[in-house]
Amino acid sequence: MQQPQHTVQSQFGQLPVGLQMNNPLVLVEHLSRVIATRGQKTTILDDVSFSVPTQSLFAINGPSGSGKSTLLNMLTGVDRPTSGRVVFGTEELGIRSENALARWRGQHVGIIFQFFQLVPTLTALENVLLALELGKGGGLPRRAWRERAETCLETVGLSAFLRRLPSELSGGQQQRVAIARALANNPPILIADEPTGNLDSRTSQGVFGTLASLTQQGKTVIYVTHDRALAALAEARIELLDGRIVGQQGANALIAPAMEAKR
Amino acid sequence: MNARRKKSIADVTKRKGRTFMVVMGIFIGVLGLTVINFTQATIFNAYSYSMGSAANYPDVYVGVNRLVPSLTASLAAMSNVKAVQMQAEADTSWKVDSAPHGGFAMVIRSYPDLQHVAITPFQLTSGRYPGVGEIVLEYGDQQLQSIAIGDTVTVNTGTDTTTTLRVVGFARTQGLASPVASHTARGYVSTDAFQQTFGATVSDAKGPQVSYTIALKVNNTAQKSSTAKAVADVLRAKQVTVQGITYPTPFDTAVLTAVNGVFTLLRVLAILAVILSGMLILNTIITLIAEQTQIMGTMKALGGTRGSILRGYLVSVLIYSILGTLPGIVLGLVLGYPLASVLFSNIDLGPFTVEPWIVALSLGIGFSVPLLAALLPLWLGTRITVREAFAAYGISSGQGRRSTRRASGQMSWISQTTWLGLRGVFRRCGRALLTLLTLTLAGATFLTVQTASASTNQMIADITANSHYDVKVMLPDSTQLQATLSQIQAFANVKRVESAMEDDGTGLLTEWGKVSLLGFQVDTQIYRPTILSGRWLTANDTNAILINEKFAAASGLKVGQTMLVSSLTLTVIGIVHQPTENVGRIGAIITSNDVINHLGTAGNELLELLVQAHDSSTGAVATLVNQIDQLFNGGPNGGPGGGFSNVFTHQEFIAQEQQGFYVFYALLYSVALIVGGVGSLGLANALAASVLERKREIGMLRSMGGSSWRVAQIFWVEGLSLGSISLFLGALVGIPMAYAFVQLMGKLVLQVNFLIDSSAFIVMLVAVLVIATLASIIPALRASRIRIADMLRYE
Repeated sequence: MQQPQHTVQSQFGQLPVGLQMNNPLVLVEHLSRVIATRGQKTTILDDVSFSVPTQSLFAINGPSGSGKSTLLNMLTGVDRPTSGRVVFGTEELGIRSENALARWRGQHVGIIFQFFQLVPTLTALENVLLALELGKGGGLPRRAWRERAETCLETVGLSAFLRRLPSELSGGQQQRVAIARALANNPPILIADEPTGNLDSRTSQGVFGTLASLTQQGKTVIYVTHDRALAALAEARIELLDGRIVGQQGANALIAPAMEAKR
Repeated sequence: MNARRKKSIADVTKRKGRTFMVVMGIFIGVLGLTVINFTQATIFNAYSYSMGSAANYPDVYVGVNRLVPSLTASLAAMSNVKAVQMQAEADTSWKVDSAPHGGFAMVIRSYPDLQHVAITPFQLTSGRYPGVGEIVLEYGDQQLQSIAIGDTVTVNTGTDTTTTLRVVGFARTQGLASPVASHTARGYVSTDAFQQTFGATVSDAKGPQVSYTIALKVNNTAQKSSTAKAVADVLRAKQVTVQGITYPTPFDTAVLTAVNGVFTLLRVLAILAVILSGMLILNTIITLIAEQTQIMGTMKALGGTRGSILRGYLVSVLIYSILGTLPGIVLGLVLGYPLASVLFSNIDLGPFTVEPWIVALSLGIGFSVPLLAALLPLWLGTRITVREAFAAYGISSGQGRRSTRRASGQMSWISQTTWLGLRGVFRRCGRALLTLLTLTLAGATFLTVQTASASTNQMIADITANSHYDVKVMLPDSTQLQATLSQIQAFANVKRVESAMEDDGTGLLTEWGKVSLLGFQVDTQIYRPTILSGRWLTANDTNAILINEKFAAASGLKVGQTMLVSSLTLTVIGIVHQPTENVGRIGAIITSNDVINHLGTAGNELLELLVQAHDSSTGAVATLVNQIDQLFNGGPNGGPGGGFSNVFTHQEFIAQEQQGFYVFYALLYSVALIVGGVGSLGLANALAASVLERKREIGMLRSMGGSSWRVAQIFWVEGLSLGSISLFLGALVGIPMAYAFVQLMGKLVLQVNFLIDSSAFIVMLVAVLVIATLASIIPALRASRIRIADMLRYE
């Protein structure tokens, strides 16, 4: 694992050199998430800082309970940090209303869930169309939406399954529909939470290959995985343990001091 | 069609069971409201048409020996005369061989100008005005005997002579009692036809009665007497013989008010049904939101705003509304008219017409109630964040209530599946409370209806409880009184016969309001009321009366006090317990037949003979009835004005009185059924949702060896628990609700004493068992047939 050599002063304290110099697509600075329940405080994320390079395949790796999904939720605006910030390009997510976050997500982020989360009563094509309707079509006029949806499904190799319901598709096919849905509004970034966690190994390879190929189309793909081997396929990655970054590659991440001493 | 619209439709079509229950709830509510409103409007319009209005009610009748139509204009120009109507009338009979007693009584009327009748006109509904040898029948005559235009009617023109008239049209006459109610047909002929048919008729006791009358409408009824006298003077001056002057009883709105009151009561219950429908929808939407939490989270993750998601679900609600409301309105209108015909068979309903407000109201309710019911849960439900939506979903957290855990530990003899069922009752507190509320209201409504009908039934029984006769004979007039009484007394099984008088529905107007009038022989042994204070009549009493407790309370009269009626001073000598069921009355006066004769209201009283038998067995009394009936022979059941049986057993009389309320009971129970139906749907909906949410739990139970019946038992216990709690609450709420309803009934329709029918609780208990069983077993069994692997798969 590489470790940062220099730091620079920012309003959030000392940051590794390179965080600002590499023009990352996503910048995470001193992110923390603490949950308080019945008088007890649980730190899910503890002072996490890193950047995601543009057009990269970026992995967030860690065992169960390491805070990967929580971190992912921060990146997508699904959850709000207790402290710190997330910057997308030049735009800080900041404090926005739920509706504002929803609108932002529709245009800027394509989310792929571990359990697909397709609407069971809509066909593959309609699931992708739904994303276009909700995300305002990514700048395309309404009459072009259908074609766009078909193109997205063709991209993931499902042009022959447009009118199938999710229940009529295999797990891998459903995940591909989910990927197509995430691509529908042409977002700059795709975020996948354990995209292959629910698939067999052969299907996983296929789906992962599809995801990885999207970086060649100018997308930045961030994926969460507990699988080290899968994480190793990324161009850049961070490793989480107990809510802290304990390792990174190409992410200009701040490694947690305690973890660093352990090493 | 866009994807969101497709999803809204799919949410309706994919969950057929839920859709069915919601649509049925809306359908039942709208159907009930439409039927009640349409039936009420139809009946009310028919009744008001039948009873006429004050404008169609003559103030004076002047009987003459002949009509001189040329005098109409000069009479109409007289002071205080508003309208003049010359009419010739024949009280005859319509011979129909297949009819009971060989035919029906019939009144045939003629006016100088049939198309311009001044006071009581008729509207031609089909056909044309009659010429010589022709007749136009009243529309309702078709309920007495099936007859069509082109057919002929045979009428008596003398004791042994008849004539045939061809039917050329049908008409409706406002203010005319229904032929079925009055047992008298009505027909209209031209003046020439009347002369040709009845010109030679000599009125006698057994043949047709021909009369000529001039009906007057006056401007100032206070001067009607002087006006009538002035008219009579003019007629005499023109060599017209004046045979008599009569003043009809003023137009009475009491019955219309009572009919309106009945439907107001029903509307109150129907509104309950609509409210319950709204609660059913509320429950359904809450369940829908719970089911679709993750989908909502997905849509928000994809960029959907709260508003766009909310609108999608509102489209589903709109679809539910359309599916439930439109058929409810159509069926309500289709059923309303025949229902009115069945319930009020004694009035002529007229042609089928729908007032726009009925449809508009049902449409408004059918669309607005579901929308309002769905709005709040949707607004709250779509507030969920993406993170909350993707939080753990499925098996309940297992926290459980400490109280139930403690109880299950102490009562280990109760099976775990039963405890699972009991714990499930308040697993979703909001939904459980809503379901309980729905069922409680349904149970309370049933109890209310049962109480209202029990109270009314008891009142009817009380009315006749004071009279200990076996047979009642209605007499047309007093001319045959003594002869008939002697003849009946001579029958072997007759113990005693007494004459009596009964209100014909006109009543007696006092300074406090209208009262019913009952007359008996002073030495009566048949009429034995409970005397609350004072005493019964004696032969030495002059103008003495007893009053019932209701009149005593309304008037404040006490024993020994007097009241002035029709220039007669009446002395109250006693207060008795005597219920009456006449609507619009403030009480009853019980007195001797002689006093009634002195009051001058004898013309408005029904003269009757009360017969007590030695042998009161059914067979013996039936024989006695036949013997008495034989005394009245010749013509349709006794000659002119007959056409109905005038001999009743006591039971027949009670049944006839109760029959008048069957309509009321039928309507009440119909609405109770509607309310109960919606309540049941609410329970079924809640249990179906519970089964759906606990599919994984079912899967685990079955994977551990639980049979389908064992699984079903859990939900049956849950359903039974909800039903039992609501039974208790329904009784708690229902008793005061029933009391309030009976009080409202007293204000709007008829005062009865509040009486709780204990059998209602047993019926409610049985209903709860049946409904809970059906509502829970079916969805639970269906769920238990799903593959275990499918149930356990994490979605």
